[in-house]
Amino acid sequence: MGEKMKKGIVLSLVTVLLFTLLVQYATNIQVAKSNIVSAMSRLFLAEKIGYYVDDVASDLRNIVAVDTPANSTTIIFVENMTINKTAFFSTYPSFVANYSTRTNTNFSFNMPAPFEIIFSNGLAYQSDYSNRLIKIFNSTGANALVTMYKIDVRSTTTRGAVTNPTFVASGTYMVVNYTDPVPAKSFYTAGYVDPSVTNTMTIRLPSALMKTQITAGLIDGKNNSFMFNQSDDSFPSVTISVNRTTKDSVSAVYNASLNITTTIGNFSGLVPAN
Amino acid sequence: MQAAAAGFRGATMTTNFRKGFVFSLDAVFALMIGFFLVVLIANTILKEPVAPPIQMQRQGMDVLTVLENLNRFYSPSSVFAETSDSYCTRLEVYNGTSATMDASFVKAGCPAANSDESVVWRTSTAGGRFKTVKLAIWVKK
Repeated sequence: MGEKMKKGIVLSLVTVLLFTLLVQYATNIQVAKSNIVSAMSRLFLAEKIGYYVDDVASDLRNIVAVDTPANSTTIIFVENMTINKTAFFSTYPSFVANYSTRTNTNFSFNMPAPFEIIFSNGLAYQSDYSNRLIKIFNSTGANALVTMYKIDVRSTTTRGAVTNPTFVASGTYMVVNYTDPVPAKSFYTAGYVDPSVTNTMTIRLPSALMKTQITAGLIDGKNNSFMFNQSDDSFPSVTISVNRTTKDSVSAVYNASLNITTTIGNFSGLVPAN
Repeated sequence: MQAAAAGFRGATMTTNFRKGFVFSLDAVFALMIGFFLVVLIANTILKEPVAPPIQMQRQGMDVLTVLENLNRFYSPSSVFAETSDSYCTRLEVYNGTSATMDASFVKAGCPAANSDESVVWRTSTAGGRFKTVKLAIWVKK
């Protein structure tokens, strides 16, 4: 074999080796990219489950919206009183079932009455919609760790007489901000109430039997609780602000169980409220 | 003697010419293979790593979330205008579980449909009225 031929063979081998390395490198990159796409697809499907949960949560937020601002002691509840909740919750499970068919997933939803929001610190918001009754209390049975209850209501009916609760020097601060169709009848009342006693403000409506009661203190054997009760639909929306004793972050869930089954994963639990 | 020398030179030239031709052809083939491999590898490396339907569906989910939060299912044009120019969208609103469309909106400057569209769904209960909403999204051609 001639010297030149040997050189040629070496050169050819080096070239083939270089191309092989290049192809190997490209193959590795392609495999890595396929793995990334596959991981992203799985991540996206998980994201989709989160989207479905958020979708259901946003539907429930139309009934009662909860706002827990960061680094604040306040929790704000806004309840839409115009929605017929009995009709809503009798239809909603079949509506969600239809949605699950369209999205090729498997949903099941169940919300027992009364409508309830439960916080990680034990605080509970309960809306007994068939009796037009809202209650806030500590679900553990202990005193609710609340320093203030404030309620903002705008009435569609002109009020009659108002009976104030007994205000004391210290205790839980109670604020009622009432807006009437007749501006002169609107009022803002605030003061401390004893959390171990039932303190009720009554707002009479023109019809003698119709009234709205706002109570803070001892309710159903639980100290430092809150209750709003209306005998008709004078208030289309009710906003209740609660000041807690601490600023620690709290999570909240609707007392509604949701199960979502997809091809890649499941969600099973209560619907987040905040 | 001179004639023999001339004949030898002629034969050497022919052999060199042949060798040169073979080498050139070899170089051309090598360059072609090299160029082909480089193009193939560059194409593989530079290709978009995220599958487009995923990106589109993610965009669609964001659009529907914004529309619900703003309560704009019946006037989505301003939200559509904020989406990427490379995407087209079409919104269909259905009452409750009905299969009959209540309203439909297409992003300005887009055709009404596309065979490669991705679909995303969302529910709405604003004001206690049940709506099922479908958003079709596709890449603008």
